[in-house]
Parts: sequence; C-alpha cells; structure tokens
Amino acid sequence: MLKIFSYAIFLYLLLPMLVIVVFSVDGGNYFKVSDFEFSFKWYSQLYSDPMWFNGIVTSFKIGITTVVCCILLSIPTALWLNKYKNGVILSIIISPIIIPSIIIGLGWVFFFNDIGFTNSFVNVVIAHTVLCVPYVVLMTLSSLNNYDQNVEKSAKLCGANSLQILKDIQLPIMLPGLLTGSSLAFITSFDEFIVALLLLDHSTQTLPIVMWSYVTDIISPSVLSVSVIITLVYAVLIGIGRLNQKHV
Amino acid sequence: MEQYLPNITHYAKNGGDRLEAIQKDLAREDSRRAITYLNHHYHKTRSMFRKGIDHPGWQDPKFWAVIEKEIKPYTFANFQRAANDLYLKVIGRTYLLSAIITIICLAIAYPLAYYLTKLKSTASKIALFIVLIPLFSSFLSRTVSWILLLQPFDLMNTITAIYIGSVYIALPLSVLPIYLAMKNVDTDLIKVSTIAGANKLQTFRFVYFPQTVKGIANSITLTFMSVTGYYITPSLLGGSKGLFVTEQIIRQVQYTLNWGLASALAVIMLSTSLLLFYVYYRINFKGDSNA
Repeated sequence: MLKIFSYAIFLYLLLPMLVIVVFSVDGGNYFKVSDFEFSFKWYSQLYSDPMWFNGIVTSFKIGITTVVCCILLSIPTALWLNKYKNGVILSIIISPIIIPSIIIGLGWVFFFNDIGFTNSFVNVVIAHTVLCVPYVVLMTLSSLNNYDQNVEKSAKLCGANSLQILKDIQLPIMLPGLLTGSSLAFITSFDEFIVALLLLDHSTQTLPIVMWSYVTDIISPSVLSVSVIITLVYAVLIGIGRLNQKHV
Repeated sequence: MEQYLPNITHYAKNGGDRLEAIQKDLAREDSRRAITYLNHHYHKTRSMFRKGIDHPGWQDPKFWAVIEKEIKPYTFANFQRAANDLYLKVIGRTYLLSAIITIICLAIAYPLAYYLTKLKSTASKIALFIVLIPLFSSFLSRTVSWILLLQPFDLMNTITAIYIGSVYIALPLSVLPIYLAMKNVDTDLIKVSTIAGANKLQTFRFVYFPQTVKGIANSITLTFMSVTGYYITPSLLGGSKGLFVTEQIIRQVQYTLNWGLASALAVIMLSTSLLLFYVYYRINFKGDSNA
C-alpha cells in the first residue's frame, strides 16, 4: 500500500520533467503526442533568437557577479559566526531563504527609487546578493564545523600574519563549502523571477523574464528546450557541489 | 488634512471622468479647504481646479510630488485601503490556499518520507534523487510543464490546477525536514516499546510520532512560508485571477503604480512571515543549545 502510494508520488514528480524533455525535441504540431516529429529546431532557435541569447547572457552575467559578491561577503561572515556562535545574527542572515522574495524585492524597489539610483544591473545584483548570501554562509559554516581555533593560534605564534592565516589555513578549509554554496547561490540567482521583474530594465532581461514573456500568451516550445538546458546546467553545478563535499 | 487628499489623487490618477469627479468634489466644503491647503505648496493648484483638465499644471510632476509628499509619510490610509474588503479577501484567500497546500504536502510527505527511510541505501539514494528532481529545473519550466499536462484534462485556470502545481513545487521542501527527522529516530526505542507490549498504533502514537514532531513543524513552516510567496504558479495555472497576495502586490507596483498599497500588503505579509520565522527559530536554535 505504502509502496504503491510512493510510486504514484514518484510518477507525479517525474512526469513534468518527462513532458519537458519529450516536447523539447518535438518539431511537429504544437504539443500533440500523435504527430511527434523528432527535431532540434527549438534548440537552434535559442541561438538564433536574440531575445533568448541576450537573456542567457544577462542571466549568466548577473549570476556570476552575484556569486562573486556572495563569496566576498561570506568569508568574513562565516569566520565571525564560527568564532562567536550568534544565533540571532545567523537567523537574520538566513531569513531571505524563508521570507517571500516579493517583500525583499519591494523593499529594494522603494529604496533604490528613493535614493534615485537607477542602474538596474547593479540593483538586481545587490538584491540577488541578499537573496543568495544565506546559502553560501550556511555551506561555508558547515565546512568550518570542525575547524580548530588552536591551529590559527599556533600559526599566529609561529609568526604568520592574518593574511597568511586566511590564505593557507582558513580558505582551504572553507573551499568545499564555498563551492557548494556558490553553486546554490548561482542557481538561486539564475532562477530568480520576482525581484528581477520588479527591478526590470532593458539591461536586466534575465532568462526567467524572457521565458515569462514567451509563456504568458502562447507557450513557445523553445521555452521547453531552454528548460532542458537549464536543468543540465543545474545538474552540473549540483554535481560540482556534491563532488567537493565527498572529497573532504 | 491628509484625509481629504487621497480623494483628489484618486480622481486625478484614475483618468477618464476625472474632471467631472473633481468638479463634483469642488462643490464640497472639505475639498475647497484641501485645495487652499495645496495652494500653499503649489501655487497653481487653485487655477488648475478652476480651469479643469486642460490646465498644464496637471501634467506637472511637481504637483504630484507635492501630493505624494503630503500623503506619504504620516498616514494609515494605505492600510485602510488594504483593509478594505477586496484586499482582506485576497490576504485571507492566500493564507487559506497556502494552508490547504501545506496540509496536502504534509499528507503526502509524511508517508513518503517514511517509505524513504525504509529503503536500502542505493534505492533510497535514487528515491531521494527523484524527490529532489523538481529542484533541478527552473521554477518557470516546472509550471509550464503542468500547463501542458493539465490542458488536455480541461483543468487549466482552476483552483485544482493551482493545487496540483503548487504541491508539486513545494513537495521537496516538505519532504526533506521530515525525512531528516525520521532518519534520526531511535530504532531501539521502538523495539523496546514492542517488547513492552505496545501494539503498532501505540508505538507509532507514543514512540515514533513524538520523535518526528520537530521535522513536521519545520516542514509546515517552510512549506507555508514559501507557498504564500508564490507568484508564477498561481498566475499561470490559475489564469491571472489575482488569487495570491503576491500577484496583487506586483499588479499594484507595475500597473496601478499604487506603491503605498503595495507596501501595506507586503507589510501584512511580512508580519505573518516574521511570526512564522520566529516559530522556526525557536524550533531550531533555542532549546537546542546542548546539542
């Protein structure tokens, strides 16, 4: 009984992915299984249509910039939190995971509007950094879990300055967490829709925004081919994260 | 003073028959006072109201800046508007739908997580991978595939479609905390209770279930909070009916440009989120200090 139920749920979880993959290589009539026709024409459209191409490039740009900001912010934060275990600060930092992103996005819209700062690219990166930084901090903290403060002290006694300690002791320990966190952060930024929609500008037509515009009227099958590519990118990123966790 | 001003902005911003509305408003004593007041800050106000809609002053952003400034900082008018019937209904509906979705998720997640813990190591890895599969694809494509799946059954633009799509997206989030809690259940205790003569139901009720309560609580808070923030799924599968608060907020920001109302709705949403977040914090960080 439990088994049948679980298999039904597995089917429920797998079916949509299957639909995406099947219809993304269907060059025939719009979404009819009866006249299936194998072709890659929707994939090639991603390359030829400038809107798709721009969306992909913009999303990568925003995602990578966000990840760099997240890493720079997370290193000191994680080290500090690891030293002075502070539950309140940690909760504040991870709150963007739990609080609906529309609230955070709305706050940024008002803030940027009030101070009159209208560089949309920078605005989106700042807002995305707030949304993504929790993942990097959490993952880095978990790699620092068995970090021995005495190692740091003995290095100091041996005459290492703080930069050397950071480079030779702390960074290698944090690296797996940083990588896993970064891949999660990139995925979050890449998939983020609401904040990008609120701060929208011609320079920030990210992939989800482009997808949205192809979905709202009639669903263009190229949305499905882009979904497959996104899934592959995510799988690679998550794979990188997993691989790193295993080695340590 | 500011209690009269929202009326004027309302008439002026909504276009259409605003001239008529403003003239009607002029006949009333209180708006004459409002205009006199505004005239101190923007000297063309009086002649604008006298000459009507053709006066260039109506196009002057400075005038609207004055009105915005007068209304903005000190009033609860936005909350009053948010508290009006329509928006209260939207907020209530969001929480109702989110609660139903959370309960459905929980009802699926609990037995599923139990099944996952019973599997052998390789099988359980594969099964866990299947559970997490929705997280591997973008939010939009997950919803799009449901459009394709539901269209043949004529389920599009119904509440059922919202349930199916949202449960699909929220399920991994609700399974994981329960699964983690079940992994840590002390199996020796279960053996002890069976030896002590408890039947299966009693063992579940008094030994197994209490050890998973924390996981359930985590699952509920996480799922509920993320579901209240959904925008893409309800608006694509539900046919843009504006069922969820998020849809209303985005509508207010993008089309009606009523930022005050948008933030009032967001603050109401935020207060519930913070409350739930506090619950989440208490479950996970407090009383756990010896762990």
